[in-house]
Amino acid sequence: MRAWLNDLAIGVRLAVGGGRTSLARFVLSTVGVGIAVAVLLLASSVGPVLDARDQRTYANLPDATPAAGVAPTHYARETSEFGEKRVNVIYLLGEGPTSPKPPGIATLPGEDEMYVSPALAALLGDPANTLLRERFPQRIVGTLSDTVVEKPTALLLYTGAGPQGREAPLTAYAFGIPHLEPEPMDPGLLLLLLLGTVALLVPVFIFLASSTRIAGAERDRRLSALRLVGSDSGQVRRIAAAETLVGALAGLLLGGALFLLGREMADDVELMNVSVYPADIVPTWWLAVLVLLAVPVLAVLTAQFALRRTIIEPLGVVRHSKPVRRRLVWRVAVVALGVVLLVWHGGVDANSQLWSYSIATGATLILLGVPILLPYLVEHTVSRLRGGPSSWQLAIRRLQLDSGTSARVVGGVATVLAGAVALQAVLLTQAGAFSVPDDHRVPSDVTMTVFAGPEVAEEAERIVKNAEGTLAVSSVQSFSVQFSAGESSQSLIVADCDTVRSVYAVDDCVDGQVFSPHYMTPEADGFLPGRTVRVVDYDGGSEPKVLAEWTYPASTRRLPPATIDRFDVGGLLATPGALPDLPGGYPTIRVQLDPAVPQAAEHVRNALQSLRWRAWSSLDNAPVLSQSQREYLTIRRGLLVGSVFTLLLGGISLLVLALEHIRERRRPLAILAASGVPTGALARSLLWQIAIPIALGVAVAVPAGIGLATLITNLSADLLRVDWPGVAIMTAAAAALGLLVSLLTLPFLRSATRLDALRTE
Amino acid sequence: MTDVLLSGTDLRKSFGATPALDGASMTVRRGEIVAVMGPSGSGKSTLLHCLAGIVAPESGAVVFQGRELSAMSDRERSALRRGEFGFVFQFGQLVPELSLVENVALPLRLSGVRRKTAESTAREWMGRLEVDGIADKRPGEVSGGQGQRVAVARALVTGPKVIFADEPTGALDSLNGEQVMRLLVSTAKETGASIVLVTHEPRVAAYSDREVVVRDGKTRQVELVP
Amino acid sequence: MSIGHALLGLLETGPRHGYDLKRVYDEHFGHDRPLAYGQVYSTLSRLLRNGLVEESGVEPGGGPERKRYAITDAGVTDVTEWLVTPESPQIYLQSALYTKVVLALMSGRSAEDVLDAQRVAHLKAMRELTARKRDGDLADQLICDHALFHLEADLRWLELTTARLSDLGKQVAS
Ligand SMILES: Nc1ncnc2c1ncn2[C@@H]1O[C@H](COP(=O)(O)OP(=O)(O)O)[C@@H](O)[C@H]1O
Ligand SMILES: [Mg+2]
Repeated sequence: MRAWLNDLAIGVRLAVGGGRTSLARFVLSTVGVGIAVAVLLLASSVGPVLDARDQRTYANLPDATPAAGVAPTHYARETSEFGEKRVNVIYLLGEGPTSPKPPGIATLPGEDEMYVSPALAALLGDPANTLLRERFPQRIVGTLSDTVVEKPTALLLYTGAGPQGREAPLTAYAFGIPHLEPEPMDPGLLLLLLLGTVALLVPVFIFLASSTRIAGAERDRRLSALRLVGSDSGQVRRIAAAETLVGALAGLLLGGALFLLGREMADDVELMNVSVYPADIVPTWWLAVLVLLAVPVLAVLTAQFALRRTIIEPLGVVRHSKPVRRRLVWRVAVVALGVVLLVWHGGVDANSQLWSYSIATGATLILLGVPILLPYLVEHTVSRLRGGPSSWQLAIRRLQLDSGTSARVVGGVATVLAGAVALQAVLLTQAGAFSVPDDHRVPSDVTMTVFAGPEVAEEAERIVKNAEGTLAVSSVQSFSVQFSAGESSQSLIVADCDTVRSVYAVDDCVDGQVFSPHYMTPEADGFLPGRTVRVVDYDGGSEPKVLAEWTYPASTRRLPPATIDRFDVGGLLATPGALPDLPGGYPTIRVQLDPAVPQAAEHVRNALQSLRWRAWSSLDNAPVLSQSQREYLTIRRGLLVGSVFTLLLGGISLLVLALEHIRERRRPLAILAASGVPTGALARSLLWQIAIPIALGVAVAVPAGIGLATLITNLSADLLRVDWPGVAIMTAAAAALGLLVSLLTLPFLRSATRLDALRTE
Repeated sequence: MTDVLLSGTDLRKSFGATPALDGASMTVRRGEIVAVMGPSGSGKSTLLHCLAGIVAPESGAVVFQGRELSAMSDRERSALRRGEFGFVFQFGQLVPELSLVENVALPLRLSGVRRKTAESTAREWMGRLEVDGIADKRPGEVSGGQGQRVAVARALVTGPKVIFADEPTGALDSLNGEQVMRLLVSTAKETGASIVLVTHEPRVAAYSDREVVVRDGKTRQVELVP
Repeated sequence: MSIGHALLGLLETGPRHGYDLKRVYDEHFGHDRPLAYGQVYSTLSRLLRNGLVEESGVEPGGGPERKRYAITDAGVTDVTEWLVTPESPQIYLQSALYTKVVLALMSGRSAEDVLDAQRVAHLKAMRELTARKRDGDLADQLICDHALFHLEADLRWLELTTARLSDLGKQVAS
């Protein structure tokens, strides 16, 4: 035991306080591990952050289950848009003094009072937002505290509903409903999420592993010297372990500090509609423990793994022989196992959770295959290269002696690339499945859709007509059509010929005609002339109310495509004469805004505000998305941001290791410079040393990514779609990264080749 | 001869196709300084490495104090290097991260001697090699001659029975070389340690009691003329 | 250095006339100092007297230049002894050593043995000097070092020659 401690002490001594070079090495590996740890801690906080948010969201939700002895609170909610922002407005009316209140509110507000979230208070206080203040002129009686507002940037407002509140759609007997078990995620989405996590975290671990192996050659020599003076292989292992442990532990500390620091700054950051409270960023405890344990363990394991070549060589001191050749078998085995898992996917049915996990495991193995195969490939490729200019020759010879370091570093970047390529392809393919509207819809700031309940439909139309900024108004009514009960339905919009003429530019409209958009073929959907269909209304409930039977007319006209872009009908469009008499459907009012009036939309919204929750409006530029589609978009954005971030991390690790490389090879570089090799040639040789592995990395990563995507999309029988320009861009980014790193190392190369670098032991 | 300390018999070792040692034999007696001479590339260093147990010969036997090295475990051989052998190479054997005194103390520390004790013993030895003044510097901060004398101190610190010196003066000028050799030989004589001295410099070999010549991986048995 | 031994060595490769001996000697060893006839005949007569060579026949016509000489058994022994006895280590003895090496090569003996024996002798001398130097004062050291450096030069030459023996052998044989 004492002997062990003694060995560990020697290792610690070697790691710290060994002059400038060992300090530099220590700092580099500490920073490397620190960054990785911070990222891992952040990643392990995602769950708690989402939980805390859900907690607050659920605590604010009204519970409509009647409770004896409780005078309920009437509750209505609307979303009021202001520019790009959405304000959640909640109207409350208490039946009595004991009526429940949402959390964070002292007394239920009157009609002229409101509680606002901090972000909304700030927004209202901004003199630029007078229109918003006009919309909500109520007196602010209180600002909600962080503990009740979902996220720092949430815009939330509670105000009194007044007597009208009795018609509010909801009656709350309490606030806060039990945290529902979240619906199991769509397995497709889960797979995407897992895949993304894997693609982003694998490089972090690679980065971590290579950080603890910084200055491998130097370390090997040092340990050889220890072997020479008689440490046995066990001792050397312990010493090396202690040495890396010091860096790993210091990295843990630094990572923790970086994490805390980053956490404090989270307050001011809103990324893609996501903002979090620093207080929420608390890692899941067992994940944090896992990180705390995994980092040192991984560090020690990689160090031990790296030692397998040096352990028997006390002669490393005097001889730099060619390293042992790498073996292919186990490397291929890892990838093969991944492929098998993907093809066999646990023998489970498609689209179950286990399916997702087993596929994610397979994908992980394939992605891991990139950094695992790369060193082998680099070694075997460079061993065949010959000739070329002197910078090329220097680089090749150097790589022949030690390609491991460069290959490992590039492995991280290549993994990001492979992951990103695979993700992009899978995303693109799934985008079809989720049929998200293309992002490049014509944004229209000049038209607006207003939805109003049937009881206020006329009033709404009148208000909008008179509002400042309105050019023209037309009204349509929405229904649904069905062939028989229980079947899915098609949307049916009813508009008079005036509207059809003005909105859809069908000048020869005659009452009694039916239209369809260009993307729909009514016959194919079953709308055959003479067929009887049911016109129904989903009045909030899930069971449609049958309003009338309708015999489908003999002919359907086509709407000009250009106009659809502005007011999509989403189904059939009929003039009233084509249909039997119908009770009032759900009215939709189309408003044409006056481009000459600044903030015309806000004026219209302000005017509509008098109808409060009974009417709401939306500018016709934002497609309305389903929950799954939104989740999908969120995941996609998260993944893209993650890829960029990880690529940056890869860049940092490239830089760190390139600098390390220069530092380690100062003497030979200085000798070359002293013997008249121009610095340019040395710089080019360094560039080659990064460029060759990167080229090979790309050569591995792109097929790996596309292969992975193929395997995955094969599972769901989707047709693989590869975003080749995207692949090209990411490849170019990886290459640019290499170039950039080489450029950044130039000043260090200059200082290394100054002649005083020749003096060393 | 009864006081043979270390012997290598018919050692063979090749790296790839070319044999580095092709049937080399030599013995080292207690307290004896044996020079190993021969042209560069003849296999001198390889012979030394085989004798010291840091390279395993493909055939032939190395026997130290009656025990065959190849029969020992790595741990035992390491212990041997730590306790019974000392090494002085041309350069590179000092650990650049450690100060000179820590370098000298290293073999003791590896054997589990406490830091204080180890370093004071180390300082004593550095005194004998006239480098105690630079004990707290690092290898990169001292001259080649000083570095070699520190290496000698480290080789001697555990009181070894054999010191393996491979071109110990190879990187030094005559004066520094002389000084290193004088100190190495005189301290070894005092402690009774044997030295296997690989060199191609006759003046360095002249510090030996006897020489062995290696040519093309073979030792030449030289008949001493009466 | 001994011309007698050199002539004996040359005779070992076969009986020769006096003139012939001079020619071969000059070719191999007399680059800057060819032998005088007188020296050849006086040396040969000394060798005759000591029984190391004998006359192996006279060609018709008489005159000393017509006599052929051959080495005797005693002569062979004498050459062998001479070859393996190292020259006493002193400076500027390459010419003697060179003669020995060439003769060893010509007579099929081991030139390496000749060089090895010489190296042993040189090193022995160097060891003595080194020991003296260790115990001596600065003046001793300087004097010893001077000798040591010269001896070292010899030894380096020995090493070099050893390394080139096979080339030299070819040249001598031709
Ligand atoms: N690790 C090695 N790998 C390949 N060849 C080696 C290795 N070590 C020694 N050799 C070869 O073995 C021969 C003898 O080397 P060495 O013992 O170092 O000779 P010396 O010390 O006499 O100069 C040389 O030809 C050398 O190239
Ligand atoms: Mg050598």
